[in-house]
Amino acid sequence: MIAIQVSHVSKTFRLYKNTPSKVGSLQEHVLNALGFPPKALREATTPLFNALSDVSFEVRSGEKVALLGSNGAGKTTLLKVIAGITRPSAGQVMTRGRVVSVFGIGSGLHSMLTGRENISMYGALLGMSRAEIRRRFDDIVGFAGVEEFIDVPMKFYSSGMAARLAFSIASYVEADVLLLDEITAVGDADFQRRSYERIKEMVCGGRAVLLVTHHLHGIGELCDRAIVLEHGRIMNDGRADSVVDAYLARAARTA
Amino acid sequence: MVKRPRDSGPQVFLAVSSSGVFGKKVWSLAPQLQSYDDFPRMPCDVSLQPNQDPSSLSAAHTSRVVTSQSALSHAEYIREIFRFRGVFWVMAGRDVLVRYRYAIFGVAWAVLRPLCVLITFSAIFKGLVAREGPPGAYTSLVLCAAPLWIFFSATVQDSIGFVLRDAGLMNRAYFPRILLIFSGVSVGVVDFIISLGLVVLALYVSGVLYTPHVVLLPLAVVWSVLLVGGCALWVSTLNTRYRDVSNVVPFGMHLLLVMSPVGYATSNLPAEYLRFLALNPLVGLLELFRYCLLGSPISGGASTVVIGVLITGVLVLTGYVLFRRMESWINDYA
Repeated sequence: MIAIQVSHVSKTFRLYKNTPSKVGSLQEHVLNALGFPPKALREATTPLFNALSDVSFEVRSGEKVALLGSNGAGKTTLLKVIAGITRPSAGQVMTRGRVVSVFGIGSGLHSMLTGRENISMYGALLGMSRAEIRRRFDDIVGFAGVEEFIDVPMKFYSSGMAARLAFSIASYVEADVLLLDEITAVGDADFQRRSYERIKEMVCGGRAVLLVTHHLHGIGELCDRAIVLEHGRIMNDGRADSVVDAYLARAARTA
Repeated sequence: MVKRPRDSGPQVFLAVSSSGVFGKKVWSLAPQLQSYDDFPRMPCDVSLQPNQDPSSLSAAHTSRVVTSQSALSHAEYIREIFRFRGVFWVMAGRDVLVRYRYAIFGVAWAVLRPLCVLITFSAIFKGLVAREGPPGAYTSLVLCAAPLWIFFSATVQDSIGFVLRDAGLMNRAYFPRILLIFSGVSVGVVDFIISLGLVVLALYVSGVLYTPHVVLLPLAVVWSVLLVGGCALWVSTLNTRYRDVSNVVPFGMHLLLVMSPVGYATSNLPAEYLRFLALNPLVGLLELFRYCLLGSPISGGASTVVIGVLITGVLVLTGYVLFRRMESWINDYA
């Protein structure tokens, strides 16, 4: 059963580097409507950036896929498109079941609310029902290790504690499609170890997992398939261990 | 390598294709995947399967298709909003909590702000505007207008940030983005209803409440919420794209305060001037509030109210259409 199907997805951004400073403003639009600067010049001076170009692949339920690539290769953009957070410029994505995305931890939580309130809010945002949140509450708090601070506003949390709580909430959401973006790099050494174990638990079972990471060592253990993105295109797709080897070899060559 | 279970039979996807991508062979490097040429087509982004538990706010057991534009019809979008009502409640609850938790006076601000308006206007205009008339008439005139004016001006000014301030949340999960505006407005609604209730109580205690018309008050409240919602939709959406809006709104508020009968009555305005002024829906609405609470006749008659309602309707509808058109890329600008 296919859980994620990405068909010919492209995502294009306008780069404004050569244009005057008032980009995207009302002023620009009024001037453009009056034909200034001329359309041809405008298009020549605002280059397009293809964050993703014609990306297609499928992930079956139960399949664990690592998404590799250098910074700016389009990994996070791809996850955002799959999660429905941002729309592709062309192509389409189909997902099956509940999609939960966990992005670079932290700022989903509100600093004025307590840990308890944040669990309700973030949990609901990620698609948990109230009953589910109530049932998982103790687990979430326990795993994050913030029992003492659960009724304290988040602004008094250390950044590590906040990140731990956010990870913990996300990790207890039941998902059919799980999108994880570099979430292992959170918290202290002990928490990193525990969260790695937790990800292994989350990854088990019938759900489809798409995981962005720069920790190449653990991939063979977590994932059975890896996709390499480069400049928004798929460069390699196959068994995790062989793809990682090829990726590392290539990185060594270019270095 | 983990062994993958192969499909036991043909899978039926409740999937959508407006662009016909599913009609082409899907390129894939994974050798064991077959191509899916024959998906049935349905005209929506999120299609519920029959086993969906309607009480759950989660999107469990649904297929979702993301394309460059929303393929949801308006009815489907409204259903989508309803499906994510859980997200609305937590966001609205959050906004209310955050607003009052760190304020010394807390919810008492809902009372204090109308009082401030009353004192300001009484101090400045009482002598100028309302020399004639029974004592206390000017006070009740302003009291009827204060809750609405505060609701309108505070919420529309706040709406500059309704989308932008939650860029962090928007980058973390999918939900209909219009919920950001709903939750922002709902905080103002809570304030508005509390202060309006107190004004009604104050008028009743002092014996100037015109009770036969009070039954119409809920209509005026609904109209107020629609008006503020329509303006908030326009302001928050446009400001995401054109930050110029955040400079225009405060100025517009000053203008509106002068052009709305918050601190004066319309009864002694020339008729031709009133006809022009009635294009501002706040005029009809404020008149309706005074009609409901004090029983004072509506200047310009029913036409003032009808024009106001029509303009409010246009604001809400165009604001909604604008928001839906911008929603597909709103995330890239926030």
